[in-house]
Amino acid sequence: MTSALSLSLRDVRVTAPSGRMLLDLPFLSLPAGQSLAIRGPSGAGKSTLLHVLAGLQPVQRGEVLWDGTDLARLTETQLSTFRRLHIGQIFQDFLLFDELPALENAAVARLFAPRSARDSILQRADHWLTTLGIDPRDPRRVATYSGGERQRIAVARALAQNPAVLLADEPTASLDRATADQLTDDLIAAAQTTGLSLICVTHDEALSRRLNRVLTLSDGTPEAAHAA
Amino acid sequence: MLPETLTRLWADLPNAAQDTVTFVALLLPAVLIGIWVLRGLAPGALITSMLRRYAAVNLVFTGLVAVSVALGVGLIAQERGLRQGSARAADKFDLIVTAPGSEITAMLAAVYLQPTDLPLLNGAQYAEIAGAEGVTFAAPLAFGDSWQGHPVVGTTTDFITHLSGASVQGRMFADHEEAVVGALVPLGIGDEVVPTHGAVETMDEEDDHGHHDIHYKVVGKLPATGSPWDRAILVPVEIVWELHGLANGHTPETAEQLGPPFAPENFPGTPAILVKPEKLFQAYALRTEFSRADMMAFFPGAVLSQLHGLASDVREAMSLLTVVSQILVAAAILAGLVLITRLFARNLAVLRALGAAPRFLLAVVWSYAATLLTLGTVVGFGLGIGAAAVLSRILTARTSVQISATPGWSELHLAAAFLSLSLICALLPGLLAMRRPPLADLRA
Repeated sequence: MTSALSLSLRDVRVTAPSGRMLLDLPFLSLPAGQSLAIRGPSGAGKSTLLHVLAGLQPVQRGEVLWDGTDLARLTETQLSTFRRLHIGQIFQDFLLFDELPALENAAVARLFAPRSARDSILQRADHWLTTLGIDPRDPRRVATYSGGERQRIAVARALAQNPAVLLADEPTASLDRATADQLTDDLIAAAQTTGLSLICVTHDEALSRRLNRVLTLSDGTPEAAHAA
Repeated sequence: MLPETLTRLWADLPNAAQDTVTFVALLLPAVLIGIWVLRGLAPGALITSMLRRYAAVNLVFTGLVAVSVALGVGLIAQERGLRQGSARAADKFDLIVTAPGSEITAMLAAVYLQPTDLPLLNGAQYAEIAGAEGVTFAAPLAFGDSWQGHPVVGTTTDFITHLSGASVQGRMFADHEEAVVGALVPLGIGDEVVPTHGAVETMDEEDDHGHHDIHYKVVGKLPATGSPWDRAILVPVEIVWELHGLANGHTPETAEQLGPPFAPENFPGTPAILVKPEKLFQAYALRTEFSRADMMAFFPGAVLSQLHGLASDVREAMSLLTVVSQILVAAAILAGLVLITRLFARNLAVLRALGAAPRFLLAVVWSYAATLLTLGTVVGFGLGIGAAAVLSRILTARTSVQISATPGWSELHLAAAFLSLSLICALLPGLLAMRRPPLADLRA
């Protein structure tokens, strides 16, 4: 596994093209291997923060440091490589490739990874699908799977990249309670097994309680950051 | 110095080698771009996914490309087939002598058996031609009758032997009421034919108006020549003259004779004489000798060349139109590809978010476009050749000139050039996808 990364945000500010402030975060840190829940009402800047952490959202001011590497100083290609090597992402709407089977989806990173890394990505995709209860040999396209199954495939896709940090945007939002609880267990177990840092944007109290820390945002600024 | 050496080296290459080098050179840009775009990447699974997901759109795109390529390929193949077929049909006709007039009209009548009214050459003129130095034989032709749309042509056995390459099935006619038929005439040896006056396509069998009071017996069948003569019924020229109430070309003492020599005073006239020279150089001397005020000599091959020269201007104009249409289709496809790239923009954004380098997006979009364009080009090539083959059959059936549209280097060059050009253009949607910020598409 990639070594866990520590996070340090300093004086980060993100504004919309219209000039509206989306995120204004004076400071945030997360030691390697810790977990964080980001909460807040709609439009509070939760997803923006997640995108900033993934290097997808440029910042107008401040530093986003992963183990001392400032994302703002990286080129697009360097950012891509950073994400491929260190960041796993789970999207709210799964964002799978509907026409591909589960294993092809979970191992999609091998298509753009160096040749030397392709086999290990495939093996990890196979492992995580099996661990999460999805048959990797099932040839069905993922469009035919249930919402819970699709979300688990998305988790397996993120973990197959062997990330140091897992960023999840509302991972339980579209799931029923039982499935959401199962997925929460799976995420926590995966984080503990691999030692990765887990950062979740969530409205789910049950998930928040299971993470080390909670950051609540309102209008792009932190309301409170406290140990859970 | 170097360009001259290269030019000479190129000129010394066999045609097939030149064509192969041209084909490879035209295709090379596409191959090089493919290698450059895909180096170290393997987007195949995603391409399959995109092809399945947008199957209907892909089908329309591929169809558009295929139709565009088919038009160009079909046009070139058909034109070449026509040119080669018409030249092959005229191959056996070394030199034709007729009364002064239009060479094209005379050629259409004598070589392609098109019904026309030609002024006649008289017996003295025939005798002069037949007796000229360097003439192997001079065959008079007599038209005017038909059987079920098949022209009945009066001529001599010299001409038939020349036309068939001396491989007649059965034997040559030896009597006034015997006939030798072309390969496409639906008659066998031993069958009988009642000719009709005029070039009538069909006639009610019960209506014998216009029928001659004669039964030709088929005694020989010619091998296929790929010319309209395959549909002809060949009979002694003497009987055609007799049936039309004319002298039969011989004196009363030699009235039963078939073929030359003819008696000039009893020679009723012929619209065309096929002259077979002994040597090639003599053909030119004979053409000069008989090109004068009272007669006209010409090489059908030369007349065809002039016609093909005129047609080549039309061909070039049509080729230009085809290229323009292909450029328009390519532009439409390019615009379509840019639009369809927007359809899967979210998937591309996910790839960026997962760590795919911008170059991978270029590879995905370009490979997708390349798949559609290559498939369309291959299908279009087949469609073009297929359409040209069908059209060739129809034209062959109508004209009896054997036209065959087979794939040639010109079509391959066109397809390769189109493919290379369109694959270069396909970089554009890929470059646009590379530059597109992923965040907006992720939030969409």
